[in-house]
Amino acid sequence: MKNLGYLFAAYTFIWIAILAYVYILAQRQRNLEREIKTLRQIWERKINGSE
Amino acid sequence: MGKVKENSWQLLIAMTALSITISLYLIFLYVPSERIMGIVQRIFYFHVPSAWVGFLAFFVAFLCGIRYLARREARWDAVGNASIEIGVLFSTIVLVSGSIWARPVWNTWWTWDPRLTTTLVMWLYYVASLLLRQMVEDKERKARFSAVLSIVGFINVPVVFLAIRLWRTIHPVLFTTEGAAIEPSMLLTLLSSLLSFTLLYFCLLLIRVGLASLEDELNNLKLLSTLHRPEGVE
Repeated sequence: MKNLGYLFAAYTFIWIAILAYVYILAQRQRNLEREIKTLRQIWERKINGSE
Repeated sequence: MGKVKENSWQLLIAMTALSITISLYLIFLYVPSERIMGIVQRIFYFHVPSAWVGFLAFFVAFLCGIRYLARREARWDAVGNASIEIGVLFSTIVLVSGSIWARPVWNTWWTWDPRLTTTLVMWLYYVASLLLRQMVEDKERKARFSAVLSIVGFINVPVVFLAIRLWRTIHPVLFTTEGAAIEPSMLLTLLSSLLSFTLLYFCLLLIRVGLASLEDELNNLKLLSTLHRPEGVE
């Protein structure tokens, strides 16, 4: 089991990199959806208010 | 999202998860350790597929770049940009995992070997192209700029692939004209990992392209807000 630490380090890095990227994408998606929802609500309020 | 689209998406996710699980089983429980390098050689089963995904991603970006310049359709820019981003991620994995493997095997973290150097140049180019893209404000100019960069940048990809065949190198050569230079069980494990990473690439690409369409939607809403100035919108 010589060099087990290197194997562990490599696979840990690979998974952290992939999961961090997925996490960043998920966060961005959540923020964008929230912003879109807020803008739509403002627009709907504006349209309803003008009727 | 339509029902068929949603089912296909779920199927892709399930296939990716299953193939990654199988690959991990093969890597850690099935395949024997290499005689000279020992257990550390197992890094290779995720290192090589990461390199493959990097090449694939830059190739997709190259095709999207050509398609965008020919048709001027925004979706090709979105796919191309998403692909470059994923390519950079996997190229980073290649450089780091290769360096970790090299330390016990070559007794150094880094050497200016042709394969390593060309990979680093490729990585720097695509990182720079992502950064440069952010500097362009106009959407159409940004897409045109990106398309040209992804086409020009792809010139380096075959050079990276052929570096171990064209120049003297200490990097292992896996596939020769006589076939794969590894044991059948190792080849099976490698092929399984290649499939897993390819599926993972398509998952990430779909997520990233979906994000780009949300960004578009938000920009359009903001533009409408600016034009009509409804209350509460800055």
